[in-house]
Amino acid sequence: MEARITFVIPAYNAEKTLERTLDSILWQTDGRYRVVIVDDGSTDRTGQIGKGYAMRHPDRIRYIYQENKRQGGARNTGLRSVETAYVSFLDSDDWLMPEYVERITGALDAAREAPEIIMTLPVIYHEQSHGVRDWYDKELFERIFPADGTVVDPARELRLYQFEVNICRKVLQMDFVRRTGFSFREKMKWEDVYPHFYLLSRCRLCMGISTGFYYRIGEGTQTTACTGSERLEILQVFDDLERFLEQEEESLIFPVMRVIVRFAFWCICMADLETREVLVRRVQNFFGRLPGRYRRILLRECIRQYCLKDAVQYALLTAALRYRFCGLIFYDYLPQEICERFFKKILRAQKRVS
Amino acid sequence: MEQIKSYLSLQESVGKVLIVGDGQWEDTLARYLQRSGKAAGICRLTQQERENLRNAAAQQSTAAGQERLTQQNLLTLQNLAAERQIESIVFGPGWVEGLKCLTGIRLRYLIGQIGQGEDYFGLWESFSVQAEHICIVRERPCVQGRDAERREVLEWNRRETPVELSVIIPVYNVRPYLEQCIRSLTAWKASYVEYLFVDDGSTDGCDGLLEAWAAQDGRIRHIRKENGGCASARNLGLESAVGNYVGFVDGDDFVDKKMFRMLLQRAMMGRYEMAYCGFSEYHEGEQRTVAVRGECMQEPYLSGTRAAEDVQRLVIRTKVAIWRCLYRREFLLREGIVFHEELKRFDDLPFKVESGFLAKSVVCVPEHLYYYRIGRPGQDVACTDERLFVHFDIFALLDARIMPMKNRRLLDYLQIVKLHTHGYALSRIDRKYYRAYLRKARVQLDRSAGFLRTLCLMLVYGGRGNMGWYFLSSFMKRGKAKVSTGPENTKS
Repeated sequence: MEARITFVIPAYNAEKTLERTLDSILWQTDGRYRVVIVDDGSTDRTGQIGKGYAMRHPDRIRYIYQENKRQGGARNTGLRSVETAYVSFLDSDDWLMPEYVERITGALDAAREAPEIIMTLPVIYHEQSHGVRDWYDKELFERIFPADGTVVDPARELRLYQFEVNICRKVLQMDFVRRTGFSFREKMKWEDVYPHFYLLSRCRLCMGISTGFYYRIGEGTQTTACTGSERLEILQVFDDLERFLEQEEESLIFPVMRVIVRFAFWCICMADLETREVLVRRVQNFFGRLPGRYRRILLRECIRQYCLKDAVQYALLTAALRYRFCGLIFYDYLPQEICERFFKKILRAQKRVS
Repeated sequence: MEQIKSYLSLQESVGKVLIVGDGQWEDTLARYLQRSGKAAGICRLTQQERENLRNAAAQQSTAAGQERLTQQNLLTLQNLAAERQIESIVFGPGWVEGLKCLTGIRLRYLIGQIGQGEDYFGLWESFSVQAEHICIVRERPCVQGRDAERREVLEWNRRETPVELSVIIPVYNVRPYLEQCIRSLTAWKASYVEYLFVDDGSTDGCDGLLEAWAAQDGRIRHIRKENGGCASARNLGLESAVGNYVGFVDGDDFVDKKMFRMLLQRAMMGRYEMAYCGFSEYHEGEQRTVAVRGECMQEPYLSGTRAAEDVQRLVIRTKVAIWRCLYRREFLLREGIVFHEELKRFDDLPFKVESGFLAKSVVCVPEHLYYYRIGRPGQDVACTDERLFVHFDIFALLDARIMPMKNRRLLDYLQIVKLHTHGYALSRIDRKYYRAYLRKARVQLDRSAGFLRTLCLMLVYGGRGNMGWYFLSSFMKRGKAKVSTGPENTKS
């Protein structure tokens, strides 16, 4: 049996969760896979666990150690040592559904032409409550890929870009990766935002399969939960995206701008007091630099594709991010709350009158 | 279904499984178990066995029918499991009552989904002696709370100790009321609870009473210690607790018989870190109880919430009443929340604020189940002298904990708690201490928010009654207060 897919698992101080991840791979119903564990300079028992698994399953699992290069660097190292036709990235705190490999190999066997990207549909697992939730874009996914193995072309189906930017849900063809010369940016966080657009814009065949991994949230240790100065690195991603937009077609402006606005707002909300001020200033600078054309396209597309409410929300947000004096509302939730209360009071008074 | 799949994906295998469910549900799950290779073998009930189980359930639910449940019937049910060497059971909605009849079989896994209003806790109670792992899922059609879980899950693994809940009762010279307290607690006959009575060096004979009760009831543990204040007693209780959840009861109060069962039941379904119920005040003189209203007994708390703002807002919306709450012990350990022993009184205030700010999830049981005795002589809250200056030590501790988190919202909420507490203290403090207190209060308030901001907070979150003294304090010379030698000693 020839292996079809390699899982690259970057692991940094993941002693608590790595076993769960590796077990879920070993318990797969189909054995046609390989695993590469990239220990990114861990200081805890991660190395021990990884070596242990590699020793017990030498035919399937490889263990690589390297100095800390952050997630992007670790993924690149893993990517270089892949020998199978497909590669899938898996974080050390997530784990797979039991039929993941089987469903993917099954769909690949049935496909007429080998797809370059396979989109999967993960499920969110809340670490505190142990409850599962639907993945953020499940509805959209099911609309684009009504059945397993549906193939679409991202150039025609622009809604693909609206998917959650997450590298782990994409299974990549190695030929495609080599052809496009793809690698992650090293030594920074949020390294999977830019590849989302880069890969999709170069892909011609994208297949959807409604199986995936369990995506763990709620523990407060992930990149997405940090509040300090790490948040500032998002600006680098924005710069990358801006450069990307200059080279690409008009049609990509809308999805990219959407992601930028969303990320900006979300990062500001998550940051703590000190970081927030710096972040708002830098985001404002960035928005001031962007050509006005982008903003107009964003608004126009919003109105065309969504209801008016979204458009208004985006307009307010971009305006607030662009103009300095509006930025004040980001430092503080209190003015918002006061306004809210004030309006509610007026509304209530009106009701009483009528 | 999705939730059960996620649970199964974390297990290597559940062995030989009996599936109990209806129609499509059963088929889908059987197919999944087969495909995913998580089951060593699958068996289902025959039509006859289904009938038997249904009948048994129907009979058991009526009191008289319990006796009519023939020996024959029960035997076939138990054989059913034994003969086929079942290791685990997976059940679907509508089978909880039926399963409760299947007592006396050892299981590795009990996994299942319940329908609306089914008694999952009864199922857990009867199976926690027989099963190694239990996972019960409840899906809710719609939830009101922001960020509330649509699927709640009760996950339980057998541990060395059967204790699930530890109730900690600090006791210090409350002999006249202790009997009532113990009686009301032990009226609930569950085996998975322990009562930790921490005797803080009482001198009025609480000792003997506890001794006698501990001999009678195996769930009561009597811990003696030197007198060191309420905080140290509670801490000792926390250290000796082994349950997954802990609750606190004061030795002079009493509870409703079903209080802790209801709280535990609600907290376990969804792994909430905090669960609370309402409380009533019991007026000692007139011997009457008054249910306290307006203590956050509404949505989103009723359906449980994980939104940080909602959880944190509880701190400013409720009174200091840690005894109405149940805490997940894991959560207290993770955040390192203990009682501050250096405080000789009101040690529950910092505990409440810290736990409220750091908890990730909370749920409310909408019934008034705790009885708080007021008007007994020597009660903590009754003082009007310089002992009230302890508030400054409390907030100094809280500042040190909350400030580094650099979260505007938390700082504001802390400011509101300060306003309320100082306002309360100023309303009852003796005249001669008033000036000194006011000056110190203002210095402390200025540390976490400016004048304008504090004003806004008072307007938005109520507490407008505090405006008077707040304005008044603006005209005082505050610079001096930092070096002033106001009554620092609070130990008197």
